[in-house]
Amino acid sequence: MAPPPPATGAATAMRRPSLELGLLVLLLAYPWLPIFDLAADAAGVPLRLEPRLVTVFIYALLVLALNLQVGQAGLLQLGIAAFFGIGAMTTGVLTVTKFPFQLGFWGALLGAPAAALLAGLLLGAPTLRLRGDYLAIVTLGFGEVVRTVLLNLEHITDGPRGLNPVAEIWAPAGLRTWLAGDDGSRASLLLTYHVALGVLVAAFVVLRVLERSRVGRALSALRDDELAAACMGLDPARLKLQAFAGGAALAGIAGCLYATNLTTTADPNNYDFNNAIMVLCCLILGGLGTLRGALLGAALVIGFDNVLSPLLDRALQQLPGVGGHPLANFSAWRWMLFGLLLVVMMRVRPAGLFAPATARAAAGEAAR
Amino acid sequence: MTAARTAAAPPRLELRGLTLRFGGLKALDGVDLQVAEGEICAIIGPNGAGKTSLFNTITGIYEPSAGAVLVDGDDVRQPARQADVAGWLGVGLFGAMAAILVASDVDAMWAATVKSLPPDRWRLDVALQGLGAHLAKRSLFDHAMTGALAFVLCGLGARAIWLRGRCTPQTVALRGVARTFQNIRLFSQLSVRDNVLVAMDRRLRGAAGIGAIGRLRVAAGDAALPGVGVALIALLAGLQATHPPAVGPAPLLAAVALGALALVGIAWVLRILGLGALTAAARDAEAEARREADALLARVGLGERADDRATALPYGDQRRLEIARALATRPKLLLLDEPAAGMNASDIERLKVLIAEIRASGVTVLLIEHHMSLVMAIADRVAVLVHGRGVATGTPAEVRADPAVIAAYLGDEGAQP
Repeated sequence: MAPPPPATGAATAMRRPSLELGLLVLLLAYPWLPIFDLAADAAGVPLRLEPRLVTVFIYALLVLALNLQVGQAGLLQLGIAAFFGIGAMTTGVLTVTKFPFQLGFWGALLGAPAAALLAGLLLGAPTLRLRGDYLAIVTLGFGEVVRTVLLNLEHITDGPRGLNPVAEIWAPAGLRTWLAGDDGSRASLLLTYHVALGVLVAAFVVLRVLERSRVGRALSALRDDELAAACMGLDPARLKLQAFAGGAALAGIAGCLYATNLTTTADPNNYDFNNAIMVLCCLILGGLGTLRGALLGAALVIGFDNVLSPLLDRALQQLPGVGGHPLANFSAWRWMLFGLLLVVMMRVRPAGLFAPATARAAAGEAAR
Repeated sequence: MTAARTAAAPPRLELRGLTLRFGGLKALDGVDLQVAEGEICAIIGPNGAGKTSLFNTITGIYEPSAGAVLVDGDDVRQPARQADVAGWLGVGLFGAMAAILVASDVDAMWAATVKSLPPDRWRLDVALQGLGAHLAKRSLFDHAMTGALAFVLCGLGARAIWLRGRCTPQTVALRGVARTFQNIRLFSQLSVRDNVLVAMDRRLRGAAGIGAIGRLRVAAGDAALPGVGVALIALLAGLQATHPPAVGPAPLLAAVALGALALVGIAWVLRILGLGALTAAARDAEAEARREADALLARVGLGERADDRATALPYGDQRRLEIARALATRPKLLLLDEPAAGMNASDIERLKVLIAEIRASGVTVLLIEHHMSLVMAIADRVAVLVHGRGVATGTPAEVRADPAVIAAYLGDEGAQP
């Protein structure tokens, strides 16, 4: 018998992350780099993007969570915003001063995914046997139910006002000084920025290991042919429930960071169907079933909204002759442009920007 | 050889009056069949006779309308164990508690307990008094009715899910029954080798519990629910002991409880995510499985193509890959659904050798096949199925001479002497 060929997976793992690693180093260092100081306004105040990048990180987490459920396990679910909301609301309940818990951010970082995981298990156990579009409808309904419940449990969630102030991230005083000197609010911002980035990196690494592991292979087989996989001894119900609950927990972590970043749980209407569709949009744009695609999709869609638009606004305002014109406002045009881009994308690259070659071929055949 | 064994041990596979109805149509009508250990048994019959339905019923894809499938004398439909009954009762109790909470207005309950005192003076005993007062607003009868209704509904629901799950393809596969498919069903996104490795997943999952971290993961999984319960109680006790909450780092007890919760939670998440892949034992098991997969592929003549995508193989090779994938589950009984379909003469010769080798390695083979030359050459026994009914069973020579079989294939006139 010939010796097994070298593990190609390990080889690519060594080569591939260089892009991600470079990006990570850049993002880690960004708060101290004067890159976007160029886009200073008339008063010379530079446009700093840290708070907006935190939003991008949080949505990237959500897209990764949805990718685990939709991309890896093949469960079309439209209720990801519900788990996001449950995470945010748990964080609010566990940290605000009006309740006796007051566990702080680090306690909430455990409690939020636990609550979302529980919700995922309770929803998933009876419903994951449903196929495709039926599951989509069930999760859609679940999302609406959660939003309405959160709105109406006034004693617990404060209804549309939202719970606040959500605790900021606690860190030793020495670390805060090291990050931002005496500037307290900047220290809080940088803490949030780096914790969100750290959680995102951790989630990415865990999901990457999962993708290349036995479980990733089993999920892939399940997506291809559930019946054949079951006949080979895999347990589809168990695998699906694990992926669904895992994605829910990850969305709960994203919700925890979201509430911490805003220092309020905000109006439960924030966690509605539009939000879920936006996350799905990121995933499909980037490439369903690929981690890089999920990150790219989040960076493009949320980054377009949160980072690129304000930068372009500033640039347009400073152009001589255009500056004062009421139509020279990129933000006002951004969703129109986004819609156009989506249409073009679906025509040119239907399987997403970072789709694996096999999925691209399949989508191409389907389009023909 | 086989006759002596059947006298002592139950047959490897036994079908007792197996019936499968789709509405008014009887796809199978009281099929009886015994396959002894080490036998090659062929099922033949005209198109639409119910051969594939028979395979689908044996492998748990369909549940029989009547009759039973027995593997080594045991019904593949597992009877309820104590743990299953306990599970239904547990789900029922959980549902009852949840229903009582929801029916008594969660929001008002929150106000009565968590907000019973200002947060800096909050006490557990006052909160519990508040809970009691809140629950007393509804009569005991109301609570009991709500709880009983939810208990029955949730318990029955759990039982219904269990009933549907007790005889499924994976539970049958775990009993050592593997199969191939008439219309090839390979995992198209995976490589040839990965197709085989997926079939070893069950064993690899067991291997993930080997080694220090693996044992920790399994222990964490077993301890997860009680562990979370204990940690939550400790957390509550910690809250009670430390109020009003101190400013700054969390008070000691709450911190300890949170730490315990975190440990159990993280270990459990690791278990869920299957991150045993990181342990040396799991890596060894994976490497061992790869070697076994490559050996299996070499055995069916696909050793060179292990890294190709499964769907890139030519048709005959895909059929052989399906056999290798089924063998990877280490079956006692292998069901081959038209393994020679679409194969040329030389492929069929290789297939004959392969099936004989599989039998020699101790695997009982049940096959559906239309190529009579293959059936007559390798089968010990042939069962004939017509319109869902077993018409004849016997050695190839006996079946060939059976008037009922000739009638089924050629019409009644063919049966006239």
